[in-house]
Amino acid sequence: MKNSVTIARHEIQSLFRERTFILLLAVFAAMTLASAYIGWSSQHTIDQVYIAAAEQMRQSGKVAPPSPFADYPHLALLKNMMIYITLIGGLLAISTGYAAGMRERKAGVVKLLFSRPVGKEEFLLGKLLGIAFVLAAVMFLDAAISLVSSAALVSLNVQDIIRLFSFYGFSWVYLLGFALLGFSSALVKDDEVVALLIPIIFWVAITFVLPELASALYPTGSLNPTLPQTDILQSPTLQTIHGAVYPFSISEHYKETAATILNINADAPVHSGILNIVTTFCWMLLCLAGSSIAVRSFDKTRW
Amino acid sequence: MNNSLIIGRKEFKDILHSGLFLTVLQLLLALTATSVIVSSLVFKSQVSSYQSSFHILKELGKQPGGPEPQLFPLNLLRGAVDYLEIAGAILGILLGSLTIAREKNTQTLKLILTRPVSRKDLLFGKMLGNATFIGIVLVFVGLFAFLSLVFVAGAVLALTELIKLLLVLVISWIYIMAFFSLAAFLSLGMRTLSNALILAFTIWLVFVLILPQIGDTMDPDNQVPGGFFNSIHFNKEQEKQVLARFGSYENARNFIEELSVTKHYERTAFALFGIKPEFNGMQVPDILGQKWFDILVTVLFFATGTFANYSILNKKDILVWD
Repeated sequence: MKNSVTIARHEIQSLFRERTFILLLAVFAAMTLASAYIGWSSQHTIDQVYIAAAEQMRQSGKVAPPSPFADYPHLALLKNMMIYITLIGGLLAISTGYAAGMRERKAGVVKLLFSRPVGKEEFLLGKLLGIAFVLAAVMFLDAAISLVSSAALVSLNVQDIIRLFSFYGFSWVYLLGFALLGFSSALVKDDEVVALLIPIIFWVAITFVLPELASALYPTGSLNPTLPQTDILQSPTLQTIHGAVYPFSISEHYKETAATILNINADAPVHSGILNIVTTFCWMLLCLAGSSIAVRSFDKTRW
Repeated sequence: MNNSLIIGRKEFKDILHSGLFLTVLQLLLALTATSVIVSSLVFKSQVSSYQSSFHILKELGKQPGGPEPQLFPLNLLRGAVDYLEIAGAILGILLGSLTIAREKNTQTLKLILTRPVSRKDLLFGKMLGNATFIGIVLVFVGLFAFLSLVFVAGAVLALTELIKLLLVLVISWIYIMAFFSLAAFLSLGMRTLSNALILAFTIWLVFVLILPQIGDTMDPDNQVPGGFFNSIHFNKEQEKQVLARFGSYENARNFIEELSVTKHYERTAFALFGIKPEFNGMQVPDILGQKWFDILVTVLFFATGTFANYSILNKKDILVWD
């Protein structure tokens, strides 16, 4: 256990010293800061657009429908964060895991490390602790930025603050899966570029391809937090594909749960909420199992 | 020129031997097929939905409203354009990174330059090999898209539509080569390959996904599923009248979108494929005339990348890492 803590501490220090990690973190933090303003600005403008449209309807003798934005919750201005987590967060998590898996290989110290009384289990645990801590720190930083930026734009109550931190906590689980995927790939693949390419292909598949198959969403349509209406219910074939693929469409499960946590999707049925949470946790656990297999099969005499 | 050809041929063979060719080709073909199949099913579903509404209205003795959905075959390739935007740029980045990684890992750059090979020959040779590879991949994608449209969607393509498909492949080639140049430039300029690759992916993330995403989510019409104006039964003309009052907001939104080369590529491809309805049935020269600025930005992005590579390769200290 002591060795694991030492490895974890070294991992954390090394990651925060890496310039590419800091760069991605800076982009992520900047987008977190911008997200609240973008959300607030669009919401403010759309309210004005609604007023203008309603006035135009009244002038032509029609009755304006109630504003679809009247009951928008405070945290709706953070809805873009769901997308930034899946995009920037996903890439940041992959690069974190990849760096953790590559570090000893690139430094040429794998043999040296395992010549000491360090077991593979301790190595795995140390790396996992390091990755998990770094991602938790990133999520905490983002939560703090979101809290301050949102509080400057709207008044938040205690429930909103709890929801905000729960959202980032849940996002941590989702991102941990990608980090573990990057870690496993770095351990098992010989080629540096291929080792990075594999988790990125998984990320493209999870973020864009599965939602298209499951919900007939265009790839760039998945980037909009307000999902467009699709026609899957009209087509038996699309319904069948939806039934087969949707349980594995992890990014959709993540976004739906995140929307529920932020109170944007208050009407979501309870059973689908449970399915979404279970799927996201299963994704993380599956990646954890993959990491365990990767460490066990890792040839420590090779590098 | 002869040297460039030899380097280009060697580059092309290396890509084929690396196994990247088959992986990338399979990935892009699978993505193209997915998008055509899903789009065809959505279209068929819209037609059947229209027909059932039509019969219900007829039985109620009412006059059906809008026209029946009409199939414009190239519209079904919208998803394929999205994938070329995302996965095509990734392909460009990987090729750009790998082409430099091969020299760095085998420490052969100095060796090549001790031979009567100029740095210009080296750059153009590498670009030639990779451009040929990307071109072949795109030809396969184009053929596959054509076959998918014919056999999956049951569409018949006219000559004009084939020309439009070809033009989209050409602009896609320029777009992917632009990302190739970017990644090669970063790999040449940075000491660590994986750092250069992650930086290239960060730039890709910002230009390909984040900037278009911001512009898209700021669109007032995108705030409600199915569209805000659609939800209050406003037609395009009424929508324009309302949005005219928010000119500065719309200009800011458009400016953010235009910062992204991907958006310029997308606008050109969407216009040629008629995904924006106003371009359906428009002649090719008219579309190119309307979209010249978007085409120019995409070409400029590629030209700047090529020039940047040439400049950095001409710096003496670039050989330090070799």
